[in-house]
Amino acid sequence: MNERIKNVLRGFRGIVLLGARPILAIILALTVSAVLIWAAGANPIKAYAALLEGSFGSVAALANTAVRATPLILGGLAVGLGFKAGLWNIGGEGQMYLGAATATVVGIIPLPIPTWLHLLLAVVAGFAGGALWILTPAFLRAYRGVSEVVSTLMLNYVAGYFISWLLHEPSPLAETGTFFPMSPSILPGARLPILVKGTSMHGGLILAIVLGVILYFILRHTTFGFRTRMVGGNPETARYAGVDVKRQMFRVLLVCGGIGGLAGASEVLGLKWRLFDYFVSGVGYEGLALAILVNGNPLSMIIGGIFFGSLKAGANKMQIVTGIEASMALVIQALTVLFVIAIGFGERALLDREQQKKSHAEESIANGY
Amino acid sequence: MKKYPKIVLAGLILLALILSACGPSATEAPPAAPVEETKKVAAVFPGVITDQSWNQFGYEGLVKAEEECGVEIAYSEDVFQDEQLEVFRNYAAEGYDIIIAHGGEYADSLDTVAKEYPDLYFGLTSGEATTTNMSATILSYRQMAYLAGVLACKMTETNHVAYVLGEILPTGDHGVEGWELGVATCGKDTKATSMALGSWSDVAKAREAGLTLIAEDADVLYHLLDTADAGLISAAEDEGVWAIGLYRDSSSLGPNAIIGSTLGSPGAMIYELACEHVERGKTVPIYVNTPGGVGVSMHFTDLTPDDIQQEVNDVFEQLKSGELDIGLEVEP
Amino acid sequence: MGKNGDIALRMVGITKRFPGVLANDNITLEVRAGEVHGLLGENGAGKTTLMNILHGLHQPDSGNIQINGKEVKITSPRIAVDLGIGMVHQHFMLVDNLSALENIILGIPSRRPPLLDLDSARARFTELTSEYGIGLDPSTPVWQLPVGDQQWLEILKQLYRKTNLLILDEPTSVLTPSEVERFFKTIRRLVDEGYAVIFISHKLEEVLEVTDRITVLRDGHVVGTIESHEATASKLAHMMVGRPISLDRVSRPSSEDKKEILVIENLCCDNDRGIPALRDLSLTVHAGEIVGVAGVDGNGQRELAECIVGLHQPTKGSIRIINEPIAGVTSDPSLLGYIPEDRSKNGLVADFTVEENLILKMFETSPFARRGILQWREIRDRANNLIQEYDIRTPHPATPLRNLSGGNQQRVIVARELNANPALLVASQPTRGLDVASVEVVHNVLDGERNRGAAVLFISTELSEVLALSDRIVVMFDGQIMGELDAETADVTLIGEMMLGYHNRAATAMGGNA
Repeated sequence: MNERIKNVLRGFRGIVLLGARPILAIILALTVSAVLIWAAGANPIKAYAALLEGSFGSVAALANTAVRATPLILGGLAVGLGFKAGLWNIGGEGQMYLGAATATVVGIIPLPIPTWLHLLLAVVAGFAGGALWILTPAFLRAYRGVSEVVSTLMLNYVAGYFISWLLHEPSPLAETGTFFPMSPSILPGARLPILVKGTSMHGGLILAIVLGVILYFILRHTTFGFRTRMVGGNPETARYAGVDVKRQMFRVLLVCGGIGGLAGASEVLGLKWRLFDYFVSGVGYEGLALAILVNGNPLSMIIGGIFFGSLKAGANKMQIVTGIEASMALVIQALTVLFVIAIGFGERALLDREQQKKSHAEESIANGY
Repeated sequence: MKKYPKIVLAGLILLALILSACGPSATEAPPAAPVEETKKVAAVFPGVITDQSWNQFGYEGLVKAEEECGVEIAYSEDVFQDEQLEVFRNYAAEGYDIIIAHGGEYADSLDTVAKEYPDLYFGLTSGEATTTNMSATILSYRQMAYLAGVLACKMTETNHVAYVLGEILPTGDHGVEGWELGVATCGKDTKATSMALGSWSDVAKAREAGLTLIAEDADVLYHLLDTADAGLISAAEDEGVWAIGLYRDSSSLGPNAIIGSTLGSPGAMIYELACEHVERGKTVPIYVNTPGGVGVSMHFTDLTPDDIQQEVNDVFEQLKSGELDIGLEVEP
Repeated sequence: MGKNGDIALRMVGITKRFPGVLANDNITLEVRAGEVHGLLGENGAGKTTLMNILHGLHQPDSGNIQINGKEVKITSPRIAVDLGIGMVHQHFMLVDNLSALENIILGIPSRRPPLLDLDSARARFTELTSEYGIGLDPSTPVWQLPVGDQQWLEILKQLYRKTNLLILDEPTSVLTPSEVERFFKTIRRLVDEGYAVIFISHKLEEVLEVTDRITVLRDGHVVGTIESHEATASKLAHMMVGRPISLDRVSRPSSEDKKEILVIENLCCDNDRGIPALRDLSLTVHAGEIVGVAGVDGNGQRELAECIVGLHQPTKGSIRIINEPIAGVTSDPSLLGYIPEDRSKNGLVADFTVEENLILKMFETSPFARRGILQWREIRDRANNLIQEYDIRTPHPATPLRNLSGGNQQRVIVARELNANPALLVASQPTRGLDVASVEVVHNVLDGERNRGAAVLFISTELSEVLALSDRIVVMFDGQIMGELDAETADVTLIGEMMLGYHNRAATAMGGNA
């Protein structure tokens, strides 16, 4: 019994330590950013107060945070799942573009079906678009050993240009007579519902949270997840355990791409109601940052995404109130992630030293069988 | 261990993100004590206001409005598509009287927020007013390109002149039509090329495009670019052919190439909106007849012979008087 | 450099405490100029701490160090180097992209900064290599050098720095038997010239062969220092472990059961680089016997083991276990157990918990998974049982494996692979890198499996343990089996010749097995 309590405590300590790293990083990042804000001639306390008000201070603020968090969470999940299999999907941007495009195509065609089905079809199309976009990198990674980092990254640019091309006349996806390249409007029936009237908070957030929970369940409780984590932990051992490592990598990357596509689909179906040129502006990379912050954990991704989202939403308020650039949010985000990485390195070094010491003790008692 | 290189890579990407974000640092806060009756105007820009082009000129128009029309100003730059609604709503909630969006990509979002705040006034550049509490202004690239075309066809010796655009947007379509109409006025079968560069700001690419066009015997270059114009004009300068500037006197970019510039600033669109010169619910052009010195006009350098300057000015006057009608983006 | 017989190093009463561990407890060590002094001890006995203190990486809590009779404080590795103390680590400290010469002068201040002093360095390099008969080209990049030469380079580095006390940490673990022989000759020559050498190793035979005196550590204190010619392997093992250890051959009845378990016929396969690694290899292992595979590392042993367990695809030939042809990884745990040669590489997932590692091969089978959903309760139950049965020291079944000590990680593999009583056990270098007590444990496990009636294929490059443990011995060379011998009567010289590829003679002597 005593041993059990100890174990529980030990597990609890593990959770605290796991959570401590991002939280410490966030505190450090906010401190450094406060210095930057101060150097820029504003009062950091006032600035952060505005930040907080703009992200959680009212229904509208909460809605803004939710709107910003949605693509971050989805984009983060698209990267984080890959982490678990030791894969780096840097192609979030491209997958968002493609997923948005396919969802738009479905969303603008009038179909004689119930609206919920139309919406579902559009969402599924978004997933398929993202998966399709990562198909080549996934195949090359799994079966030809080509680094997915480079191939997915490069395809981001291709995707951006491809969408531009799609939205310029005479493409069938281009709206005529506009002053900016955009698609026709998504039909009302295929839009994600607005959750709070008078705000932009849309059903994408629910999609993101549900998906995070599902992915957590898959990773922890299914053989697919076990296989995925094994491939990430030690592909050689996975092979020995009878896992088709290449096929698993291929599948995981496809799912990653699909989730990336969902991130794009949720933006057009929930927020923009049209596909615009250049509508993705770095969210794919911020998803990567988020995934690093939470080490790919799908549940933490939800919390981390809301944190990043609140920074971005609050920063606009902060700019209006104090004149501090809204891009300060990006600075805080990036600093947070850099600190997480730095702390990770430090921890690793500390752990190695401790391990050395521990091995003295353990090996000497571990003799005998 | 094996993961480190990739983590380092990720770190570098992030570092790059930080640095790029750090670039333009904080802006001054709006004046603290609002004067009674002063209208508060907020403008929202898709890029940074130091870009030497669309956004910077737009911002200059906003400042001009502050100086001349006595409004209090605030702005947000680099406002991406996913935050448009949020930023508009924030300004509306903060009690700004006039909210101006600088670019056609804001049309949908501005329409949404304008309907949510019927008591506030909204302005859109390069777009159309869709509600009664909104006005829009459109800079007439058609007229500017027409004037440039007239000048180009008079100056060309090879009978080939070229127009380089960032992208062919609907605004650009008007530009191309104006250009072709203008070039045709000389009647000497001059070839009027137009091409899309695929980028508004890629200087190197613009220079390449310029050199290619010059190799194809084009000897007057005009453009609809942002910062990439420097590349195009440098090509003309180095190869000894003519170039025509856009928005402002561009002779500093190519003192031996610039024969003239079509004036007419994106800032004029914001200025007209911020000073409430535009009737509510209306969409109006910024064109030759726009009063207050912010309309479309022509600027020449000494490289253009006086007689040609005179001839182009005559065309300009005919446009003004309505004697010559080449069409407009929207009815005034 | 001192005269031979002088005390080159004296460490007196060294005590070093780490949180919760007394790593060095009043250790006294004396090394003479002109001797090879063996330092023996199990992992955790305090060897590394002691050497780190000598090298300036740790400071002792008490005790003092004298070099050539003078008391010194070694507060940093730089001071250790200045005092002429040089260490050759088990894992080489070489920069792969630099040439041999550049590695030698790395870290030595140049006489003409910022330029490198390459010419005079090259002259000295050539001088040293010719003096010791080492054939090393100074301009070859390190990554192109075979491991044996990298070892030489490490030692040259020390000679170049005018080291006179040389610490060698497990220096032979990467060398082939003939390289070891040459290496020992050089060491003897160095000590004849007045160097003092501290030789750290697990391999008792080697320590006995090359050293003059041996100091044995256990649990942080000195058990004793003895003259090498008075020592025997079992005596040293006893000192190290604190109880009698048997690594010698125990005679035992051969199994009655002659059932063929593993049958390999005309097996061919390529290695990872596409070069033939196995050539027409045929081998049979019966129930209740241990077949030892002897041979110099890299002669196809790894590929043989991996073909059997399905990690490697043969290009030709067949493998059958109890008449079942093997193609790909076998999922039936009662058919095949495998103890891999590098457990961290392909036996375990360090980031997984203990319980997850215990179901690696069975995570898709009932009762651990139903319809693709893992059954954690079943998994936990199994883990608890195995942890108890195999005495795996872990705080909890859900502890990440990386937090376990090496010996306990090995037990996780053994538990997983053997608990279903496989008909065939393939053990590939299962004792590599283990200390003497753990070696004994592994030997007992293999013996136990044999006596249970399993067929055991035991691959090792340590001839002594192959001799001690096997019923039959086959010798591999260049992907082929050179010959097969009865372990009871095997002639070590003959095996040695086979290991070097004297096929025909061996075949004749054997009466033509191949």
